[in-house]
Amino acid sequence: MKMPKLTRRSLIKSAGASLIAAPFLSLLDGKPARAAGRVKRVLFFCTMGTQSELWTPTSVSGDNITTFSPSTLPLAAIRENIVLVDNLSSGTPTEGHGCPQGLCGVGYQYTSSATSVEQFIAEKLKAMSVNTLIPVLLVGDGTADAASSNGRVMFWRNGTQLSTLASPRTAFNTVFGNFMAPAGGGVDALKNRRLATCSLIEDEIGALQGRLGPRERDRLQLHYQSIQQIQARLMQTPTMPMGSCTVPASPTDSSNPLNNNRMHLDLLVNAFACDITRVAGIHYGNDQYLKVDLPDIPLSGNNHADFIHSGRSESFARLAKFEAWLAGEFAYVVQQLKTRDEADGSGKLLDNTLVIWCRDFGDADEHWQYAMKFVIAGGANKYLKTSPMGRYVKGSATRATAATDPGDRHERILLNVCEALGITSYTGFGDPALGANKKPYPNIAV
Amino acid sequence: MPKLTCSLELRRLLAATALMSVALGSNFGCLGCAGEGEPMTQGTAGQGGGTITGTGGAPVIPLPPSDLPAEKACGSAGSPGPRQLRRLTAVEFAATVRDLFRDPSVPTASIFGDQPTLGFTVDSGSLLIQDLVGDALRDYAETVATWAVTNHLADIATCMTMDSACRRQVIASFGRRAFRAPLPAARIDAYEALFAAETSFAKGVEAMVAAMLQSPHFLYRTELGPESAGPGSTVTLTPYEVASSLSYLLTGSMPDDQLTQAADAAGAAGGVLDVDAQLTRLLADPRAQDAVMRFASGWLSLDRLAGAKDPAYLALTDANRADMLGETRAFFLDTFTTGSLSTLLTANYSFLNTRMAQYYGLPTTGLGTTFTKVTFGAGATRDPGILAQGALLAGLATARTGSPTQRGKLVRGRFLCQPIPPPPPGVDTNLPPPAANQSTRALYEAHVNYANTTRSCPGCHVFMDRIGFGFEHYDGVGKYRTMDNGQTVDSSAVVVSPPSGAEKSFDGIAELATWLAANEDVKRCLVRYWTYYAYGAASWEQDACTYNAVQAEAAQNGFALKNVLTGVVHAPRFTRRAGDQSP
Repeated sequence: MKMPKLTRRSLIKSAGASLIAAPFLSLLDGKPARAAGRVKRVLFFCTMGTQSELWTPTSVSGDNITTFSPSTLPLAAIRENIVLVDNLSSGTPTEGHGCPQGLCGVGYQYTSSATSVEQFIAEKLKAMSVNTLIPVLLVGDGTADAASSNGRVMFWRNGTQLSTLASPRTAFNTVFGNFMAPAGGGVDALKNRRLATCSLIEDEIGALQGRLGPRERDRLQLHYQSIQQIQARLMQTPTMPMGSCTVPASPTDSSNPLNNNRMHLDLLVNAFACDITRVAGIHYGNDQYLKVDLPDIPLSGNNHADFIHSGRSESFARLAKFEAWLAGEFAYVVQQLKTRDEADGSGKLLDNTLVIWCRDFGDADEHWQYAMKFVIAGGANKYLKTSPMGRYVKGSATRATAATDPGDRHERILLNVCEALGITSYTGFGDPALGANKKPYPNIAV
Repeated sequence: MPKLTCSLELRRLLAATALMSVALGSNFGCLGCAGEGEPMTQGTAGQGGGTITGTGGAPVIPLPPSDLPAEKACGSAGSPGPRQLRRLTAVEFAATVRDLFRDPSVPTASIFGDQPTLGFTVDSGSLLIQDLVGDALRDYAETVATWAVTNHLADIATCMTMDSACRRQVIASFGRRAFRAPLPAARIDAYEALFAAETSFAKGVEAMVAAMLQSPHFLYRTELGPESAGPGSTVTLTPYEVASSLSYLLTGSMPDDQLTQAADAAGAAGGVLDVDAQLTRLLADPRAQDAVMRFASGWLSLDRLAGAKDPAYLALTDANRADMLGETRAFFLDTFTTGSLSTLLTANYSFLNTRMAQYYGLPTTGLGTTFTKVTFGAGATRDPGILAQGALLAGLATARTGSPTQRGKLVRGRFLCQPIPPPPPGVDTNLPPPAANQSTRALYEAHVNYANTTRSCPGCHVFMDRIGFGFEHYDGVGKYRTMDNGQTVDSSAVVVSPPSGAEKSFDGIAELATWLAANEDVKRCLVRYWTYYAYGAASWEQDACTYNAVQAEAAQNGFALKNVLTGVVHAPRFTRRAGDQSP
């Protein structure tokens, strides 16, 4: 059910005293949470690694892409908005599966403190008083797939892997559930029930904590904070959406993880449009397993075992097809952001957003983190330096020279994202030994 | 067990030099990559996990262990171990919701993305609820509540009026099952307030069910003793807590009606639950087989069987994998029921169907689609025991070859409890393909170069690969061979620096298995892993007291596998606790 747009006046007229909490007043006044940097938001699009021979542009002129490779050809539809970055190395480029380097910038040596960049960004934005209803929204189906119990995602915080919301319906309810009236009841009734339930659970947790030693108490405190976040969103959410933000239709979960992830992409765009979050990540499967079922291509199998690792003999033909499909999904979400208006009418969502495609490996078949690859998309030249043809920026890292010169580090691109959002202190993120290169990579920003 | 130290001086040398190409694993078959398949968290190995300081006032959460920590000696007074809180695992959660409503058609959801620890997802310190997991639980609880009211209202509520007496009756009845213990009056009061705020009885039930499924009393199992016991208490666990522990250990789900009634009776009498009466009954429950196999799968790293194979070198279909798992399941469960650790390692039989027998090159006479006991005759191309089964051999391999490293590592870590530290940061674990006429053994010997003590790699690999060479009669998909890439198989091997006694030279799996079966350290190691699986904790003060108790019971019956499990249940830790886990 699509909710109508409402004016501020009609909302106040109908809402009554139960509605508005102080933190939300700023939105009623038409003032969004203060933007911290040149862009407001970031979406991390996370997949397994690929093969350089499939990904590298077929031809470039200077740093302009003249011909995309077949597996990245769908990106041509958004070429004026993208920069492909290649040949950057992680700090431990031969560490294998599960290594947190991809979004954390650290290897196994620092796993106990690994924190991925989207968590770092969210904490920094919070410290800069940039508050949204959901600080970080992590989605993705198949990340906890039972087919591979050892599978890992790229999202970490303080050495602990983070879960993604697998179900699009659950993710929708998390983002927009407080806007929706249940069948036979008003939104207020559901909200009141949920608030009462939150209070009850908080009381139970508190009582239980009183019986526990410090270690158990701390674990339960994470649960308590999770409930507090639900409560805060309930308290801050109006009964109706407003501005140019509209609540999309509630999705129906598919049995196909890739279909679910498409629904997640739609949800993320809407979450951005409604300023419910500014930091989001989507993860396709985990590092060991992603079920691929694309009857229209046709293509089926496990991205990891069947495409990446059983593909060399066929010149990675299946991987190339799947990579092209992923590129199409990346282009899709960028195009959605290009067409949606900012809530304050200042332009399009993409103008104030970075979308960055990140991977756990550079060369996936070899498990190498040399030649780490990114696709970064942005609009309106606010941060990302783009060109009409699309840009290809190539670092210096190669396996052949790594023994004496590890080359440019991929972490620096993650620092570019931080910089774009107005974060200029990188202490506490990534490799503590990066030294003088602990700064954004050049030639990325305008 | 004495901890292995892999030539630390040499490892420091490695860290100071450039990247080093060492053949430890493969670029294919990622679960077959040496050193992988289990978290390679450096800095916490064997330490029982470090701690991470919270940021901005966040709770301090200890990291899970990367290896089984060293035992902590049992003091003269002994200790049953600390109180603890355990979140339901993903499997337990799904089973509990299903059994709570007695309906397998209850909606399901993927909520918990728990990382394995030591091969299992049972570690109480790793099972967390944080961030948006609360939202996922809320959404699921509301979905189930709506479904339950639509489909099972008459089962949930024996009265359906909105008066206080009926509401409290429904809350007490459903809550008793959902929380696996009677609700105190104050808790009933809280849920009644929620119930009464709704406009209809059905909505009240819906609100109650949704809230209870999100409650910590549903989501966690307490091992804390009576509610009056505060931090640091020494307690006897309540009959309800013991019933829950017993049920989740043996069935993976909430107590059934009979166990619930037994707990109620014990609770009403102010006594303790008669564990043995329930133990025998639950061990016969069909669900106990899955519970036992969950342990076996984690202990023996059976999930590695899913690893990819390079079709240019090895062929392994999903049907093969299914058959292998079928064989090992039938064998392990039969051994659990009738055999011992020695049987597990040295039995001269297995359970095969036609396809699996054909795969092994064994006679198929009398076999069909079900797994039937097959005794290996003279000259059979199969070694005895579980170490020679395809489910292990194919998993402990790379995409192109068997892996002496992984096979040796399993024996070292899972049978001898001598974990191997992970490789130093940045080590290249990619293995080149074997050259023409190069056996797997020769490939590893060339790359690791065990005799060259100026390199750090041999310092660790000697502890793994030297055992793994004893498996060389089996290729990377578990098939028997006498020749390997044109070379006669050499399966001579040695267990260097075992936990106790002299190093052991052997030739082939059979000799290794015989030695392991008679080894007291192996028995202790099995106890360590099974207690970890059962209690969800790898280390606590005086944990050796518990291991001693379990091992003593198992030893009374020739170390029957079943007696290891019953020993876990009979150990003082199962029913008593003292103090709290230190941070």
